[in-house]
Amino acid sequence: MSAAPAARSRSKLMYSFAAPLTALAVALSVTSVALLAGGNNPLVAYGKMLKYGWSLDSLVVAINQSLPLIVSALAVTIGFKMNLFNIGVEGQYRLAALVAAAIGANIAGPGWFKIIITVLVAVLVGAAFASIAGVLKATRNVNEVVGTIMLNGIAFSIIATLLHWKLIAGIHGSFLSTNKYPEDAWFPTWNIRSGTTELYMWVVPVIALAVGFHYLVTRSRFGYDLRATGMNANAARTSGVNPKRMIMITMAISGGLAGLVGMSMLLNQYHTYTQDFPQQLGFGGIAVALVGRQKAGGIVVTAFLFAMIARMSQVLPDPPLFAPREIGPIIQGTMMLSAVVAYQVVQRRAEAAAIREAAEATHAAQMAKQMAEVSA
Amino acid sequence: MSAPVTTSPEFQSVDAEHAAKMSRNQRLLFIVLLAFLATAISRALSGEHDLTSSFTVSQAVISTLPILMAGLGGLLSERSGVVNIGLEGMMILGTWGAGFFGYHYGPWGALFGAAFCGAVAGLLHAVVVVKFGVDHVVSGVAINLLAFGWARFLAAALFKGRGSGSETNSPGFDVSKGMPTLRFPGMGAGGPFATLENKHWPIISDFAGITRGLLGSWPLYRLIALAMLPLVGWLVWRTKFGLRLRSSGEKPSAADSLGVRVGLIRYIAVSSSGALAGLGGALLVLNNSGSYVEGQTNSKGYLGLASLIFGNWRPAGVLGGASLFGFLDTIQLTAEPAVIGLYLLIALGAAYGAWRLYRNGKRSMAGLLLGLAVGLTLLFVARWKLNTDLIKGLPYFGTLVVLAVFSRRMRPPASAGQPWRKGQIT
Repeated sequence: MSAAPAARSRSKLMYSFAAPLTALAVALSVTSVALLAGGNNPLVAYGKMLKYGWSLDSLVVAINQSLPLIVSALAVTIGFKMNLFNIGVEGQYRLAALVAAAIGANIAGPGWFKIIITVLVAVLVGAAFASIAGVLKATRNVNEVVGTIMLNGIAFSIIATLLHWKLIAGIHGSFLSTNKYPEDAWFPTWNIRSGTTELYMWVVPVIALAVGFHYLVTRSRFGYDLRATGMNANAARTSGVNPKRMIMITMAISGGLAGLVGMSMLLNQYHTYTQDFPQQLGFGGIAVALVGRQKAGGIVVTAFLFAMIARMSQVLPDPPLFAPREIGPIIQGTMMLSAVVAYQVVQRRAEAAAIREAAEATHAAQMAKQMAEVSA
Repeated sequence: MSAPVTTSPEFQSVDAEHAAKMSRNQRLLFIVLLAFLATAISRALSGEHDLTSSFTVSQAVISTLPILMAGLGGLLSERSGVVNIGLEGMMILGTWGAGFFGYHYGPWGALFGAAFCGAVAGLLHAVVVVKFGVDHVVSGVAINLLAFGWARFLAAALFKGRGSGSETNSPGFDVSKGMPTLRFPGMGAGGPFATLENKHWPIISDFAGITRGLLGSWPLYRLIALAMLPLVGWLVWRTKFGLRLRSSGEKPSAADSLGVRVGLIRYIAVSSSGALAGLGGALLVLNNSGSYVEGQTNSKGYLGLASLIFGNWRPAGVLGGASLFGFLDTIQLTAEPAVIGLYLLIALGAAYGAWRLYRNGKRSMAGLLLGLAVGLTLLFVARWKLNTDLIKGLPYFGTLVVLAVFSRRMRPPASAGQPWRKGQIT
């Protein structure tokens, strides 16, 4: 009797590692096909990529570039916990970064003050914009997936409009961008190797955020309500949770987190919002959240892995390979798809096993009862 | 021996259905007429003749068709019970396929190649959703990410160094090769309709301009795309397959218990959905002298999804939504000053909506729309130049407003988006 639970937990552990590893294997084989189709030897390409990735520079760049992905994935995950799908992180972070950059660069005061105002504005804009979808869902029953997709479209048009507004933006170089931050309002970086290798210190707040997120979701009253609503809305309502209020609060938090996505780029990297501000991080965050099993730790690891893949694929166009560096999005997309499929298969197997065990246990109990009756 | 003649209940219900249908067609005609009048009045009052010029209308037709294709694809998929956020990605693959196969095999190759590429992505979505039971939205997002990556990779691998091709665009091809163009008599530049249009008389010139724009010239590939509308409508509402498809989307367990192969139907529906979205991508490429450009779809797949919702999951509604979005797209691209006329148009639409809502007793919503109408009229009076970028957001904003106001009256397929496995009771 005691062996069964142990075996189950062992197989569960195996599953939880087997699934992401399977995803990686599938992603690598798909990528190999792509590389072969382009006339490249995949093994040579992977060798080059690993060699390029295994350096201090690559490590630091991967950490820097993983920061927005971590925050974006956290923003998506908080919605997932109660079955809310915020597809609008993409629009929320870009709009928030633009407004924050416009306000932050145009106020007077010491540098730290500008940074605080920037971050606050970003959180507020993201939260307010996402709340439109939350309020529509709670009061008018508008599906949040559709609502946030529409809000994305609206956000992009507002961004394009604001970038043409002379008061806050102008043409710098060949792109429209907001006014640049004065250097005293830049977030500190750690010069590991002067000039070439700089670690963004925005990593500290991001890690704190991930840890805080973990405790919020798993240890707090709010997190309990959140997960309870996600698992069984009716049961949660019976136990005193107001689902409409939860929808609005969760969307606002998700949007607020989304507002923080662009901060590492704004405060540490570009110091301005330009027309070519990095895009697709909202959708990338969805991929990271799903591969990372919607847990803070998994998200941090996956985001680093994704950023590392993006970094390593930079080496592909160099001689002797001349392969397109666009292999990165393919690996990431394939990993996301195969990971969700693998998790789903694992979950189904676990459910089937649980049902079988329960049936066997019931059967055994009945047999014992019958035996007792017969002998009596 | 004369029995009293009574109508049996069946006959009565058929009659009632017939009457309801008549009134629905009449209502549709009424709406079209009303829209036409509103546009004509806005044009006359604002003096922005581009609002109904044949050029604007013909461009609007060109921008409408790709959105319509995505919307019809979404209709097939969602009516079978599978939510398809991946339309955008399927369309992206369609643009790539059209660029590649068009370059090698001409415009027919572009059409089939694009449909094939879209269908492959659709099939992938179907396998992930139907076979593995993954959340529909998650799979759709993954399809979009993958399509984006593959199109980029394949363009870099196969277009670079070929003619004028590069990492981000394919070499073009002759889009009229083997593609005849249908032209109606009397629509040319010197014809009677052109003369009438240039008089700028109220109503009559509007009618002439719109007719010229609609009937101007139809290359075969555009006609094929347009033919998809009645085809999908017939397939879904008039055939045995369509009945099975819709029942799979409404209540798969009931359909399953009657022997409908829900899984197979969904495979077919979602693959066709991808093919249609891919076809939409092909239209974009063919409109662009046969050249694929990265980012060409520009969220048209999402707009197709919006037109599907806007149109309450019905073909005529999808056409309405897609036309509206295509018109807005054209106005902001080709007829910037006409935007001022647009204020008046939307204000009239909002006023009409407010009146309808007021009659239905929804005072607060009616007030909201009335406020919108008044505000837009004021903007028109002030002749406030709206940045054209802001117009890009209007379709999304409109869909959001429609959803917020009419969400209770919308009828999406009951089981769309819910994972279902054979044998599961819903």
